[in-house]
Amino acid sequence: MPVSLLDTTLGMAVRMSTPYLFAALGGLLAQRSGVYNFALEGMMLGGAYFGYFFTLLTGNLLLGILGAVIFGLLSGWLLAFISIRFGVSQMVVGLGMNTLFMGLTSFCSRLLSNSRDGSALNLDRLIGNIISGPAAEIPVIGSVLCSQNLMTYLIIALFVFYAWFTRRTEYGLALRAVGENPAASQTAGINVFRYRYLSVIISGALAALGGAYLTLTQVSRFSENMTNGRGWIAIAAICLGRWSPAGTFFSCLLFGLASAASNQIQVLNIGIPYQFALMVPYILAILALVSIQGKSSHGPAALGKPYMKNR
Amino acid sequence: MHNQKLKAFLRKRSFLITGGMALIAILLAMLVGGVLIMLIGIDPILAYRYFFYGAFGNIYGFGETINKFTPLLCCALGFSIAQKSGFFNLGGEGQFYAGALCAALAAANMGSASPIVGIALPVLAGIVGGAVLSSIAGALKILFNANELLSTMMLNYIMQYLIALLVSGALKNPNSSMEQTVPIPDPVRLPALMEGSRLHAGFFIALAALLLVWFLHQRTVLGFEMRLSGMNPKSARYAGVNERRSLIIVILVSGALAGLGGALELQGNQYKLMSGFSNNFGFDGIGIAVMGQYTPAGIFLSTLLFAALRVGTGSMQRGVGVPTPILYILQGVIIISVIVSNYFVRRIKDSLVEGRDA
Repeated sequence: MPVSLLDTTLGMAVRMSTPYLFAALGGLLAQRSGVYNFALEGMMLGGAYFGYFFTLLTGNLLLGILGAVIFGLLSGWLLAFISIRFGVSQMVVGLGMNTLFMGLTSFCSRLLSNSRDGSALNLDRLIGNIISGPAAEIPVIGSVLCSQNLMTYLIIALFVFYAWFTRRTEYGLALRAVGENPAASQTAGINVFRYRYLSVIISGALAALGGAYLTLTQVSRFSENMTNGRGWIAIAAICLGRWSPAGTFFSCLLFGLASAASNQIQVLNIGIPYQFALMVPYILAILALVSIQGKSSHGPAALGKPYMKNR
Repeated sequence: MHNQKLKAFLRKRSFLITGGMALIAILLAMLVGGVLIMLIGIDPILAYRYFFYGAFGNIYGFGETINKFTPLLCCALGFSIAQKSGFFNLGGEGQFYAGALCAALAAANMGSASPIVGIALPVLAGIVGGAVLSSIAGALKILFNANELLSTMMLNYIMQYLIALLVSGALKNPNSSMEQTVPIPDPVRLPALMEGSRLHAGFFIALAALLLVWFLHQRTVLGFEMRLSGMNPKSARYAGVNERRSLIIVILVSGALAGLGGALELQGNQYKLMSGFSNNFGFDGIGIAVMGQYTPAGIFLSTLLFAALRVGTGSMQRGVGVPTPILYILQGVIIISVIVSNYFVRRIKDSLVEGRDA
């Protein structure tokens, strides 16, 4: 493989893993507190749309990101409220929200494209790379570490913060306790509900940021259902990473690499139909599920089990 | 005194509580939809008039609603039967495609078979196709303990790309610029039933599937074992249920039902395969099963509702220009409201049993 090809592929892998990283960190945080976030897919889609929409409306990328985050916080609150307050099936709530957000984003997107002509739908400015000059020219290191934008650095920092927070701080340990044994945590004076609510709400914001990355750094335009299962792959990455931040991080990079490989197969036109190339990340996800069989770690003990305080 | 009578009445007929909650969920969805329609500057009353006229108000629309009912019912049954045994089959969409694909392949090679065989064999092929796809997720679950929720979801995407690949390549209609298969020949199509509509005979096959599933579940030993291993795996094992065997059968039947849906949609309604053939039928099946509380009557009614939603929202689009994705907004609101209402239903039932004032 020539260096330039390796170069572009690896750089692309990091770029394509960024949305996975955001969604997976969100999913991981919620799962740590004991609540499944199966609405990651829909939240990403919402973040992609509202990030794009508010940027288009205001011409300001920061306001666009803010719009995505606000959507994420609201959707996170809705998921938290329903799954924590009512103790109902977290899978069904997640699926319902995915359906709702798919409808909402497609609905809004069609209204938008009816109201403007095609050329007025593209964003004229995207979030760009911040490091340029000689550093970006170094082979491999330059493309992997330097030709990235602020959001990628942000999520790397957030992963480091999460690892430190959950292992080294009192609040982080409390969060883990809530996911393992809510009843005992409650007895020990930890407010189980507050931890779960906050985790799920922040989880929504992170997923929405992952979605916004797609429209604000990569394609400059929203298309219906554009997340294409990335939220589900993020959940697979959490399993593959055995609920540890480092494991989840590298799993996401692996899925990013698979997506980049899929892209390169399409671009290089080496005789493999592009539809086969598109299957690569999903096949990898299935292989990942198979590979973790029988290992000891199964995630937080109280994961997915509603905890209802006696009211 | 009166209160006690009411409680006793409701205790015996708890479906009234569930049904009432479902009605509230529907009304809430229509309210949300109405507000949205108003926000985009369209008269909601007029829009809903188009909705009801499109879905029920004329023979043609009624036929369309029933034609959507058919594949939706199959997908809902497929999800429901697996769910009741504790297997989360989110792969209805992919299994639906697998069924349609196998039915299309069989239908194209029927030659001069007699009409009955010509129709029945592709349907059977569809059933097998759906079962084959669900068995992949099943095998991964049983052999490697791979989470079926994620594996079935991944298989949905893989299957969609496989269909896209085939209809643009090996199976592409050479006489069409569109990426789709050659329409299946007339003799293998399910016959139309009603003058002035496109209603096809697949409806009865789907109804038969509903009855069969109910019979299997409630009236056979195998069905009892399936239910038991879903409700309480420990006691199932204690009672000597061969859990693995019952799980394998559940997985196959679940996929087969979604595959049947795909075959019926192909042979009764669309006649040719293309990307977007399914248009979310498999996922809708999940919402239907949830809303129907996994009971035969509930699933029947919910399927009717979801079918009417599809046709009605299409009619609102053509009539007054409400974008069709409003369908999924309505569905989402319904699913979320129903699942929340389950909490209140449980509380009301508890209060009835304990004899306290609600």
